[in-house]
Amino acid sequence: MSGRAVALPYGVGRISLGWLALVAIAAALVGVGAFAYAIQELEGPIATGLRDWGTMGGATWGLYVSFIVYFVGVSFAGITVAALIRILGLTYLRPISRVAELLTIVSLILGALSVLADLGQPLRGIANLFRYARPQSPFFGTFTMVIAGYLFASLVYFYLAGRRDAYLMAQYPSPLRWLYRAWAAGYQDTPEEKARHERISFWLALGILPLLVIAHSTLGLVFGLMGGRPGWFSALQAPGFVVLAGVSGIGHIIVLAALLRWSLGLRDQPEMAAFRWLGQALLVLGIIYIYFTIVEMVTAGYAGREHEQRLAKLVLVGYYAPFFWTGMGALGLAIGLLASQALSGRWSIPLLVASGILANVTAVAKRLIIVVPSLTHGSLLPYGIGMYIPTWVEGAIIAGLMGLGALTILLFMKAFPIMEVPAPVEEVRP
Amino acid sequence: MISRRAWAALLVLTAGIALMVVSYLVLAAPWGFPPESEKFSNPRLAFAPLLFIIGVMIAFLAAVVYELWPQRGGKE
Amino acid sequence: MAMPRYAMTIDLSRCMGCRACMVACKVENNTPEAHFWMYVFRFEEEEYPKTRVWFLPRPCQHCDNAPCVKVCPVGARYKRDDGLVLTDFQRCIGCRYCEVACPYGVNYFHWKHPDKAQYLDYTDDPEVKSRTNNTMPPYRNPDADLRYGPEERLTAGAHHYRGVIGKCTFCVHRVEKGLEPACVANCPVRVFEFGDLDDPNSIVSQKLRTNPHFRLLEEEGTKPRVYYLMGNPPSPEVRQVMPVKGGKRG
Repeated sequence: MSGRAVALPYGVGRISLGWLALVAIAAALVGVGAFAYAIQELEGPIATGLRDWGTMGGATWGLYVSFIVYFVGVSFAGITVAALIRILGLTYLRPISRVAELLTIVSLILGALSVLADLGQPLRGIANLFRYARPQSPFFGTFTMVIAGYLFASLVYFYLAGRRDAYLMAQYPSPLRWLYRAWAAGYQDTPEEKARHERISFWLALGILPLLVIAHSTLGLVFGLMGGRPGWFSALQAPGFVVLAGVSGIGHIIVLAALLRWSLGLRDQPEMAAFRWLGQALLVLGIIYIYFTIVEMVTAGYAGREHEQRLAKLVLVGYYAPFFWTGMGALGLAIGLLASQALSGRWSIPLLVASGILANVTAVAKRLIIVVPSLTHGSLLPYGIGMYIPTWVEGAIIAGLMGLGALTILLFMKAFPIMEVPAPVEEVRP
Repeated sequence: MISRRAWAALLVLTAGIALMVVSYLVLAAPWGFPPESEKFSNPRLAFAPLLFIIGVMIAFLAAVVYELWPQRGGKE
Repeated sequence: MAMPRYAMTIDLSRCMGCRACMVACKVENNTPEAHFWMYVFRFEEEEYPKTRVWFLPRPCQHCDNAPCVKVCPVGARYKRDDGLVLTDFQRCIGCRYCEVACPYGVNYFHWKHPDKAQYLDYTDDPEVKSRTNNTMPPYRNPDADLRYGPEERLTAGAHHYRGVIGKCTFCVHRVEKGLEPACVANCPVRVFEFGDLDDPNSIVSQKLRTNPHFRLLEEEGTKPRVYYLMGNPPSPEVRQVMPVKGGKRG
């Protein structure tokens, strides 16, 4: 047991007041969410604002399904960034690789929990999906590829990428030394090992990318293959989901990276080059998504069937217009901020953070716009129109899940370096 | 010269992919469009989807095998 | 013995919109509040003085290319060899994908346990008993607790579990006994016929041979097994009048 205390890198083990405050808020949200879930388990799905469409005039899928798609979408960027670092050799992005991978893992777990929140029989869902899942159903891809395959692949990537830092952390006495040793699993940071890791990370990244595209496309196909749902049945759903996933995920990473840089008091880590790359990627993906949206609306408005035209009108100028335009307006604003920075060549972190937040506002709004209007106003038979107002239970569960995500990241940050440790770790008096 | 660790990793990868392919095409519910009878609603082997997921996991574990394989000269 | 190919015909020229079939279905299957496995649209078209009022019964269409069967992630919603599309209540995980996939809106999710959402209490209420000669409505159909089909699945009635989905079963528990579905048997003017399409002498085959017919939303490619005789599909200008108060009670 060494007498000299060591300040572990990136605030590991150092509890600050600000961190405690954030943990308290996150834990409170988790508590509220858990309470709401208990109510939902007691009363049943009737505790939500969801109802049958058709004669009952409700929306069958609402907040939960929108957030399933949102959380899985956010997870896209994390592992994609990590993969692109390897495949395109973007070394200046390396500092954010770990937080990006962690974001992927956490938001996939949140996506899985949102599924459980939505199912009428969640325990049966777990048992029966493993036992009976049918490949013909788009949910098979969502369940196996997204939640099991994609999550596991990200965990493998995360584990292997963290071995070096675990080895470095294990050099110094700390309460979690056993964890670091176990994680490092014999890693010695020799040049041979490092080369091996670079090699395998490249192939792993290459293997994960098609899995990603399949995962997000099947999620899009859950909606896109519904011939009987005006507004859903479209070949653009699958690619649109992939692009919007990128928008929300990269927006999230920008915000997280900026938060880390600020809260850890780091002057130039991650570098501006990393933020610039993320901003450029967000700009391109945002423009592509606006393009997709325009094509969708033009197609529906010009030659869509009666019901599709009605829905397009509803979303553009009718009841759902405020949600749609908030979402697209946020994206337009984000693109404007990013384009002005790109054109002037001067990137600023506050503006990037604003763009990231706006991009996520768009993602949430657009997910809701995809899911709900088709159910309340898109019936092919002449039932009346429906209405969907989420109850506090739904909102609380979603907030609780977000709190859980934040809590997980906050706790992780104090147990393991959130960014790659530059070797060697200097011994510093506290 | 392919090292032992590379062979091991390739073996694990192949096993994983094989399990994925077999459980998807042979063991899971048969494909039929349109699904006209009860047989399209049941997997040919119960828990075939679990096997599929395990196949995916094994395939990715090949990377862990590659990195964690003991050094040359060490005992297996 | 060859598997029958069940189908239903609905004669729109006979339907007077009395909705007795809806009540019969409810009593037979004990569907909870606001669940209408059989539903009858009351439509109004054109303006006065040319207003036309007509009625469209809408059971589950038991489609040959059923979107609900295709999308069920666990095979709880499945199509039998005789054509009936049923829900295995023990396998259903309550994802409601079948409900959003169906273009006809025939699915009803058990937002509450069905026993808690009946119109009358199953338990003993002396006041009710005194008025009903000591029988307790709604009469819980014991057939619903039996299993049907070669796979012995729990598929009849609306009694089972919270958090699963239900819909018209063509009264599988009656069909298995050689009876007609409740709506068919109870219609006062014989709007419905039910039978085997593969049997050229069955009443449905005869009706289809001798009457012009259409199927609902045929352009969706669902290949429904419910044929509407003597009428036209609802046009986009049709207005629904007197809908049920499905409401937020669930």
